[in-house]
Amino acid sequence: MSFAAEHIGFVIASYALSAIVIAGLIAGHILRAHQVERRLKRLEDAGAPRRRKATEVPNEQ
Amino acid sequence: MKILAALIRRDLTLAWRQGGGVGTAAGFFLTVVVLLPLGIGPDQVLLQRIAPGALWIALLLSVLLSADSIYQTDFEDGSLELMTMGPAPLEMVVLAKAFAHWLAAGLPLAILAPMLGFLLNLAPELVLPLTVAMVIGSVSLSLLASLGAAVIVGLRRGGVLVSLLILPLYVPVLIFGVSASRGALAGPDIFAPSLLILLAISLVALVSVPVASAAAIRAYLK
Amino acid sequence: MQKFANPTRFLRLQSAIQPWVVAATIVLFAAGLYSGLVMAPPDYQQGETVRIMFVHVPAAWLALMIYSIMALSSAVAIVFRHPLADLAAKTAAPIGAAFTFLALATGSLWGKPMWGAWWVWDAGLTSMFVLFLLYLGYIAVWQAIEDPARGALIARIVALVGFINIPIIKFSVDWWNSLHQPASVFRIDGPAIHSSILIPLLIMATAYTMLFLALHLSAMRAEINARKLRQMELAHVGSS
Repeated sequence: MSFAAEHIGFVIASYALSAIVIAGLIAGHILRAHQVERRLKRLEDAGAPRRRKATEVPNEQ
Repeated sequence: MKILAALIRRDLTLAWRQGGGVGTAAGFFLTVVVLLPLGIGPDQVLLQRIAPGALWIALLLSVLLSADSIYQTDFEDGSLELMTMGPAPLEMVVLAKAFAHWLAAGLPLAILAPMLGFLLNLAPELVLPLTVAMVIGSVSLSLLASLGAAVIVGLRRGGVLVSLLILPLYVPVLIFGVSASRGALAGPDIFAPSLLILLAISLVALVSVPVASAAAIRAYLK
Repeated sequence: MQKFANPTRFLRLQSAIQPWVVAATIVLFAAGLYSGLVMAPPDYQQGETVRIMFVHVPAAWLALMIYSIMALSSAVAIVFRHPLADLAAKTAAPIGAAFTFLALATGSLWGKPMWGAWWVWDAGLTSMFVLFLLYLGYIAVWQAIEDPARGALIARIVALVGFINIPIIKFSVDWWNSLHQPASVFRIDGPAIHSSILIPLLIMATAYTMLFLALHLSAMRAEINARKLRQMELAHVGSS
């Protein structure tokens, strides 16, 4: 790829924007996963029993 | 059937007395039609070109913005819940209420709009095609608007959500409606297909909107 | 499919395949970027800007594919009442919205050097824009309705109605464009796709798909755990 070509700025902008949005998606999902894991662990340490039977997830948040 | 007729009559009476939904629609429509030429400027050629599209947009917005009243008062005083348990199927109730809204707001505006077309320098030969297209299209507009109303019934800030959900559904109606409105100018191989597609959309909406709306209303009243 | 109705089973499956999906994503992106930016030659008409295709088209394809998955999940939720179906649709939506945004933004950045305008109402971009509105509407439904059970019911309807609308929109905008632009319109992927362009495109499309899979699985895991968390919190408070 020639970095001196005309309109190269548009190409760079497109790839940069894509990278930023994708990075944001990944970061958001990792953060959310960590947040949930942390709170689960805290609750377990506080002594709340894990459900022994694996039951269906009821339709609630 | 008698129940549905009574329901339609009731909604029409309420619309007439309260003036809420219907008044909003008419007021909004007039605002757009008067402000548009003032905003764009007196260029008559330009106004004539945009007239069909502008009138359609005014119609579409008026119907959409006046529709959230369709279910709101009934929801608040509990009569909506009674309707779900009544002898008539909820889908028929939805159809009756949408029909009442069309009679009160959609149809009158569809007929009024071409007559006000002169304010936008609408070409005289387009008045009839515009009327036909708008009458047919307003059926879809009213039905889809009532679907939006059913989805947001009971929500506190549902207004924005209605627009977001229903505008994508309005796009095909708008496109084919304007296309059909150009009638004789556009040529026969554009006028007839556009009109037929507009009719098809209205017929599909006639069948699918009651089903979807009833499902949405039941979700709220569970 | 009923096997995965049990969330614990799903979680086991998810943790087993997640590392592989992530690895595949990284490898595919590396291969895609290399073949797209280094190996593929510049287009004789568009020059280097043709490379924007490698981030624009996969984003657009994913935007459409993800909405289809949401609609399918909603249908499964209605017909089979599969407990994870609503969750699958809900978690997919923000990812789909992000890809749609990228499709629009990169489409605009591609269009400016090609047609001279930042935005044109051609069939492709217009359909993408409406799709973006559909995503936002769907996400807004989950946000606006407080009771998740009711939210799920409304969300299913919204997803399915929107899905039916997509081909209708595409058809009507094509029609409108054919009326207003009788001259030949530049198609966004040019006259024909040469293999030196097609291969990087397919690699990137697969990379984006793997990325979606990794994100979606992660999001579903988080949501399932969040629900478990809520139940445990309620039980814990009740017993203490």
